[in-house]
Amino acid sequence: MKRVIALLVTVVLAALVSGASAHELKTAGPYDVLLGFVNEPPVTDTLNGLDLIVRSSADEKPVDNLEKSLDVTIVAPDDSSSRSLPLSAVDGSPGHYTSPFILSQPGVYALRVHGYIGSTQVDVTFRSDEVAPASSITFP
Amino acid sequence: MRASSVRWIVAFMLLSLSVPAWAHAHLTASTPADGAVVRSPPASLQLDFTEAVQKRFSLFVVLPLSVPVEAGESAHDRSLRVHALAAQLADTVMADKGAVKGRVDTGLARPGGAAKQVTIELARDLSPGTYVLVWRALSVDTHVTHGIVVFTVASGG
Repeated sequence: MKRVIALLVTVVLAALVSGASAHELKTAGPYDVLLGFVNEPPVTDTLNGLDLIVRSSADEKPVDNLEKSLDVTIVAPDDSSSRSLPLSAVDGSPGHYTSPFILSQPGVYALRVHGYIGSTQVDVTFRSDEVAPASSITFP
Repeated sequence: MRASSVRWIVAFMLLSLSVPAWAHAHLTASTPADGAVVRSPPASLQLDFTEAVQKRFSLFVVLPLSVPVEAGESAHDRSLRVHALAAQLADTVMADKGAVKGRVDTGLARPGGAAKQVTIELARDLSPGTYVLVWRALSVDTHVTHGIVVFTVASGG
């Protein structure tokens, strides 16, 4: 039973801390834009998603209501395809946006954030962490 | 470890994992719709939520939005810019708790109580231009959600 409890605690802690690591920070005028994946390190063929945080650089105040003022496009590692990601606000987490996806190709993805924050035009591109094939953690 | 303790631990873990799934009052539709261009000034704005909202403890403010003209801008880029300016205005409204000048709404059609559908009355004959509804809703399960709706009254309507 102790092993089962230890496993459950590990799962819950992993769920709670996921998304807090390996985000890339870029500056757009007076704003900080942080971008990463919901689940890191990322693997293919599992539910993941965009994790986007926008805040004022000066006072770290979160910026809300940007769902329709920013376009986010994800580009496959081999540049063969791209897809626009519709943003939705994360409940109870101001300045925080997400969009779910399942990545099917290992490698590094490009994510372009384009649009406006306030009157500031934004066009920044991020490179994701290496997405590992699901086989690297699949068992048996 | 006693079985009852284990049950409590498991229950707490399941509760922790289920937090994001709790019901919130999300806006599913509005009339006029977000981004709509209407020919004649609407008399009211209607909002449909996924959960009932406590109208007395919610905030609905409609304001004109100044959108400088950008030559050669695509319709899509204009939409992105308009929503960004609306978000900026919403920030001011929230900071002032709705006590802003220039409101063009005249209050709720049926204030008080809780409902999934909310109707906001507008001033008569809105001038041509872009308007933004800033809303913050307290749902009956005490969660707060917020958002904006942008619409434009076309000139010559």
